[in-house]
Amino acid sequence: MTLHRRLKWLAPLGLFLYCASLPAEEKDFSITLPAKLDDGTKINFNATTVAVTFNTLTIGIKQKDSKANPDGSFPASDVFEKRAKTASSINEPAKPFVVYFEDGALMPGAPFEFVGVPAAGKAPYIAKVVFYNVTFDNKGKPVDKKIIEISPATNPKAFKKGVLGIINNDYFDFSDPSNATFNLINNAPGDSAANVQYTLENLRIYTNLPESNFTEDTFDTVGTATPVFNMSSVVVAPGQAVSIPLGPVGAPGQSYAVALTDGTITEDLDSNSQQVAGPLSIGGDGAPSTAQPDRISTTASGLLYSRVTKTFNGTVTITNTGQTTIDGPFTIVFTSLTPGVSLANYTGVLEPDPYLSIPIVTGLAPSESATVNVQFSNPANALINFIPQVFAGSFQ
Amino acid sequence: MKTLLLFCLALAPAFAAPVEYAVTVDTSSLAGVAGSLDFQFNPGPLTTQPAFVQILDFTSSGAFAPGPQITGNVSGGPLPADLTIDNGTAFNDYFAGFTFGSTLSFLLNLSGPALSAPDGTSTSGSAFAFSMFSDAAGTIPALTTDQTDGFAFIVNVNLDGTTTVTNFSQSTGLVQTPEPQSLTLAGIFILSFLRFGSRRS
Repeated sequence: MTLHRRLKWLAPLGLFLYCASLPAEEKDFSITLPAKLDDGTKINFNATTVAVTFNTLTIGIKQKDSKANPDGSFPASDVFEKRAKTASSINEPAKPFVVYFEDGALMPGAPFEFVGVPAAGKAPYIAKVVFYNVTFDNKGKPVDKKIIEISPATNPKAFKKGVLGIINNDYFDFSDPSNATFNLINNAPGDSAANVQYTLENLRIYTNLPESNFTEDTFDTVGTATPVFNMSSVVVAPGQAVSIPLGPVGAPGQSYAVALTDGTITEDLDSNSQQVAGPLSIGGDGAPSTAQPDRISTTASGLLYSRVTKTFNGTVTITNTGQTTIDGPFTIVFTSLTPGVSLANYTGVLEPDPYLSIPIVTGLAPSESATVNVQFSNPANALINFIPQVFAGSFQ
Repeated sequence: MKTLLLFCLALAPAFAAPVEYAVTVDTSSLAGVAGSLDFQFNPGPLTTQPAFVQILDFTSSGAFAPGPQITGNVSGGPLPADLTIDNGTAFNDYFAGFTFGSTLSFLLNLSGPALSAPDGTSTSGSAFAFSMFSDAAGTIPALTTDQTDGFAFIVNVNLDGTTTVTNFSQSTGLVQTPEPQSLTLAGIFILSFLRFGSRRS
């Protein structure tokens, strides 16, 4: 036997030893939560990729207490605090919103929860989760950002009494400047135990108020600006919308800002209510989204558990049961979702509920249907249930 | 005569439930591999009518590993003995290690009120899935083009009591037994034959 043949087995052994010595993939990445979260919000972290472990993970979650950029991100001057913490205790009462893990593991199907606790005297607002110096060991497989999924759990309230509230967008464009209408839509159902009535005090609408006047939850000042709309009290009942005609507002694309100067949004829960089923949405005119409970039916397929994605997957179908075409786009809000269950493929969050946009479909003729895939994370194998609310029109 | 026709037509929808599929899988490419099989039947997220499936007459040149993992409403078994799975909980699943042989086959029988008497008010169907994996842990889908979820085939129970099959596996054959309209066709044939006979006489 030649030396060459005798040493032939060394090649695969060397390759094995080389691969074993390769450093694990190292990445930093951050995930901005999709919406404003409130007091008591729970954030679920779910690994969505099979067999992922990490060697070191530091998570900084910071209360947003300074001016936000218009897109909701943090100014560069904001620095996330970091502090050592073992994985056995994830709550940090002394310094909330900061969690640190060492030698932890985030295994598929075994999510952990973080419960947001707002600092005293500050509006609760968790805005961003940052992963520092994350070292992933995914057994040589690529690591992508879906490796960890963050989803807000059921949030008991969209507002707190007395907290000035500006929700969704700060500024609104009007598609028809010759006859603009501002819409306040109460997405809570009007026929169930979980409804709420909103009273907006001192609602004022300004045109082109500078962004510098705007902070997280209200306007600092409005200066000498004169509101185009000023009303001491506006009531929006469950399931109802209030349209505020503004008339001609100038050039196309005219922007308006909404201020609740020295005012409040108050909730009036009925005696049976335990939580807000649907928050108030504020939007410009054009094609405001409106709930369609009488014209659209919603059905769903059975849900099958994927051992690959660790989610329960199926479809939801909406059907136009009315006599006329309904213009899209269409959005399904998943209200009253089973506790512990989250919609994994949500498009966004209409506090406190996730929603899913139905792509491509621009309208539904009578009897026409549209179907969208749904994926639920359900670590406890709870019976998945939700109350669908379908909206037609642009969704804000 | 009309009574006979009505009788035959009336039997047709009743005969459509339960629904049975003969499933055969060519597993020769996995012969000898210690993998796993998964059977599940679950409700939807809205109002769902009860239904159940039965895995009957499971035969294979392969062999099950002992100690299947059972979740939810599963009774009977262990495979290859007959198995019943109903849709009473969110996740009703039979998962078992399996050393593949050259073939496997079974009858999949779906029945229950969701198929035999759709109530017209339920808003969710149910779904059955069969999956094969080339590892015992059930993480590497095999014999399927559905690499996202790993299902070999799924059967959806629709709100009108019908079923819809989606087969992701070129190695898997599903044949509904018997054909759902066979009795209707037989009735029409008998009726036509009798009418033809009476005219000739």
